[in-house]
Amino acid sequence: MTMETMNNYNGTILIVDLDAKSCSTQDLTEELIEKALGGAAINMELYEQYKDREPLILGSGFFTATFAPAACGGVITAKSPITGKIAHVPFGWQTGVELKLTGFDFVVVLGKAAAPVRLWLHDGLSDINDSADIWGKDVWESTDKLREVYGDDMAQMLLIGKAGENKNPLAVVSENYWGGKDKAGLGAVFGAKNLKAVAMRGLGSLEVADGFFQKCVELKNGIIAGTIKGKAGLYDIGTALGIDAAALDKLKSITHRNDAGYNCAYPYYTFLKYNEAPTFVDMMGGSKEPGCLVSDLMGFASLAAAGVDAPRAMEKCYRLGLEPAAAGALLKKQGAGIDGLDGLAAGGAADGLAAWSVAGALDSAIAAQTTAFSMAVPTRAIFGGQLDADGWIKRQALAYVLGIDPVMAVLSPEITVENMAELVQISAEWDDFSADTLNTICAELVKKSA
Amino acid sequence: MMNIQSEVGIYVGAGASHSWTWFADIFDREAYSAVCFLDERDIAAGALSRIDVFFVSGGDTFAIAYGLGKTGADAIEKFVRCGGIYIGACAGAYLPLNSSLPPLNQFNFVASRIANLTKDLPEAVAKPEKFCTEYGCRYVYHPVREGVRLRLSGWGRDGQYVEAPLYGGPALLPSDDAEVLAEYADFTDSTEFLIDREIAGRALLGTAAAIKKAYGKGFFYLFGPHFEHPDYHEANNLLFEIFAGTRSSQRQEAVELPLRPVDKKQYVTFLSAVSNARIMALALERSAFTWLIGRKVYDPEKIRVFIETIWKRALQLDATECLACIESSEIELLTVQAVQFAETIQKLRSDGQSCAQDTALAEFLFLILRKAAAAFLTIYFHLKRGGVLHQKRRSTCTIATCISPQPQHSIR
Repeated sequence: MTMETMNNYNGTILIVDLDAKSCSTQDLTEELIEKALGGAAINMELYEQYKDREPLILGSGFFTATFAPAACGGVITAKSPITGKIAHVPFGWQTGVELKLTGFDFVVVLGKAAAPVRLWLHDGLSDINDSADIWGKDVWESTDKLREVYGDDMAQMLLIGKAGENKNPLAVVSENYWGGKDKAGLGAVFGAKNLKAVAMRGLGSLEVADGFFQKCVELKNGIIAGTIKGKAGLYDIGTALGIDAAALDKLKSITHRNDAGYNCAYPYYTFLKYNEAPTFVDMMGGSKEPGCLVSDLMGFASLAAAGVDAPRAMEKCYRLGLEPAAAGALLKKQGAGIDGLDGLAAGGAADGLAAWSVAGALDSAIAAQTTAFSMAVPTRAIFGGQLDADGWIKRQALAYVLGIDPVMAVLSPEITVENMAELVQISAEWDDFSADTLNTICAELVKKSA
Repeated sequence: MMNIQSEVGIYVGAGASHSWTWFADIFDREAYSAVCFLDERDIAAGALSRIDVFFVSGGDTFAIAYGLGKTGADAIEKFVRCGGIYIGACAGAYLPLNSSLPPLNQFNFVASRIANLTKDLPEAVAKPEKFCTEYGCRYVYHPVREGVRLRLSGWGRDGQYVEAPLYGGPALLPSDDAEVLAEYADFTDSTEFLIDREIAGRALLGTAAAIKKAYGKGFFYLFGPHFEHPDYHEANNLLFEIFAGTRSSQRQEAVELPLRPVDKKQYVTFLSAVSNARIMALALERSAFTWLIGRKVYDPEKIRVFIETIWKRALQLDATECLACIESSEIELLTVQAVQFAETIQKLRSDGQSCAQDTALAEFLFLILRKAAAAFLTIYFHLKRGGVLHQKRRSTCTIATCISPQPQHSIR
C-alpha cells in the first residue's frame, strides 16, 4: 500500500499528563491511519491505549481543515458520566479546523490537574497554563478573557462554565460562546480533570494532492444544488422536522442572520437578537453583535416548552455551560423560571434526567444500538431521502471519522461512502482505499464504542 | 554558486526597516553563510574592516544617516576606498548620494542626482501615506510601487531584462563618475501606480535604476529597486555576481561549545514566546493601524516579517546538535525580547492609547524586533557556517499547493 497521509495530517499526537503537568508527543503513524483513518476511530484506538488513566481525547478527522465538504469537524472522546459508556462529542464551526492547524492531529489528556488549568495549543506547541484567572467565570467571560490573553479574537476555545466546574452531568463542552453538541456530559469530564479550557490557534497549513480541490468543489456544488437548495437556517430545519410551531415562530421573529461552519454549504447556525429594538441593525461579526447563536433546535424547543423566554434561557445555558435540552426538561418538571438554571448548574446531580434523550421510535432504535454519537444531530432525513436508525448511525460514524460536520452529513445525502472513499483515494494518493474499507472502519468504530 | 564566500555585512541599525531580512532568505537559498549583521555601534567599533561587502537596504535614509553619524560615514568611506563593496538598495541607495541636507551631507560619495525629487508634487492616486517624503524644501516622491521591468547595461548582459520590486527607492540621473547598470524600462502586471500612469512613465522610465561607481579600490553599487527581494531570483543572482570572486576565503569557523548550552525546555519556552507574538501580530494585521516613525510609515504587516524571519529558522534549530552549540544566555535574552514583542503588541491592540503613545510603543517594538532578529540570525548563520546546521542549496522554486483556510470574518 502506498499513501501520502501527511497531506491530511501533521503527523503528531499530543499527550498531556495533567498529573505531572507535562506534555509529550508521539507520531501519528501510517499504521494507525491505515487501521482507523481518523477522527473518532483513531480516538478509540488512543482511548484503548490509555484507558487506565481516564483519557479525554480530542481528535481531528481525516479531512478536517481541508476543502472536503463540511470538513470542519473534530471530536471529543471520553466516558460519559451520564451513560457510563464511551461518548463521541463532535465540535465544529471553526474549532475542529483550528485544532488541526495548531499542528496537533490528536490530543490525549490524561489524569487530573491539582489546580485549574487550561491548554494553549499553538503552532505545534502546547502550554499548560494555570487558570485561576477564569475559574468561576462563565463561558462568555472566559472566552473573552482567553482571547484577550492570547491576543487574537480568532483563537478558538473548547471550554466549560460553572456547570462543568461543578462536575455536573448536565455540563457541556462549549465551542467558544455557543454551547455545542455535547449531550453526554463531557463538560463534567473537563471539570473532573480541573481543565477549564482548551484554547487553540494555529497558523499551520496542509498540502493537498493534485485533483483534490477540483473533486471537493464538484462535491460541494452537488450538495448546494441538492436537497438543501433554497433552504437556510434552523427555521427551515425545524419546519421540516415538525418542531413545535410556536417555538419556531418565536425563533423566526428574532432571527438576525444565519451562518455556516467552515466549508459547510448549509447555514444551520442561527443568530438571534433579543436585547435591542427590532429596528436595530448591526454589522455581522464582531464582538458587539447582539443576541446569541443557536444551532441546537432540541435545546431551544425544550426551553420554550418549559414556558421560559427561550432565547434568554439559551443565553443563560451558554454562559453556565449547561445542556439546554435537559435543562429545559428539568425546569419544566420543577416548574421553575430562568433563575432555576443557576440551581441546575450548581447542583451536582441530574435527578430525573433521562440517560438518553429519547424523543421517538427512531431515537429508541438508535439508542438500542449505540449512545456514542450526539443526539444534537437530527435523527432523520430532513429535506429529502430516507434515513433509518442504521443509516443514521452509519452516516454519523462516517462524519466522525472523516471530520465532516455531522449535521451536514444528515442534511446532505450527496455525501456518500463511495464518494468519500474516492476523496480519500485522491487526497492521500491511496490507490487501494475502497468504500468497503471505509465501511469497515466505520462499523468497527460503532462496535468498539458500544 | 561560489566556492569562496566573501564576508558580507548587513546593516540592521537605526533607520533600517524590514527589507534587510530578505537577505537571510536569499543567503539561505544559496547556502551562503559568511554573513554578519551590523548596527551603527558595530560600525563605529570598526566592524567594516572585517567584511568585504556591506549592504544597506531599505528604511528611513535620514534616520540611518543620523544613526551612523560622521563616524559611520568616515568608516564607510574608508571601507570602500580600501577595496570594500558598498551595496545600497532603496534608502541605502539614497544615503551616499550627494546632498546638502544634514545629516546626509556627511555621505557625499556619489554625484548622481535623484530624478524623483520635486517641488511640485503630482496628485497621489493611491497610498498617499507612502507616496512622498519631505526632502529639504522639496519632496522625494514615488510614482509606483511593486514590480518594475529593468533593462540591463551591466553584468555583461547589455539589453537583457530583469524584474525587481520598487518600494520608494530612487530613480537616478547618472553622473560622469558612475556607470549605469540598469534603467527603468517598463511597468509590469504587478506595478501599483501611486500617480497617474502616464506621469509615472515620464517620471521613471529611462532613468537609472542601478549604478556603479568606482571609489578608491572599491565600489559603490546603488539600486533603486530591491534586488534582494527573495521573490525575484534573477535579480538576486545579479547581486551575488557582484561580490563573487572578491577577496576573502571560504573558512569554516569552528563552533565553540558554550559553557552553558541551552536545554530543550528552555528552547521550547523561547519557541512558545515567539509563537505567541506571531499569533498576536497576525491579529493586529486585521486592524487599520499605521505608525509614522521618523519619516517612514510602518504598518502591522511589517511586525510579522521580523517574527517570521525568526520563527521559520527557530524550528530548524530545535535539534540536539544545534542546541548544544548555543549559549543559554543568548536564548534567555531572545525569550525576554519575544515576550516583549507580545506585550507591546497587546498594548498597541488595546484601546485607550493615544497616538503619541502608540507611535512610541511601535518605535520600541520595531527596535526590539530588529535587534532580536539580528541576534537570532547571527546564531543561525554561525551554526550554518560551522557545519552544525547543515545547509542545502535549495532549488529556486519548490511549488507545493498549500492551503491555510481562514474565515473571512470574525468567528465567535
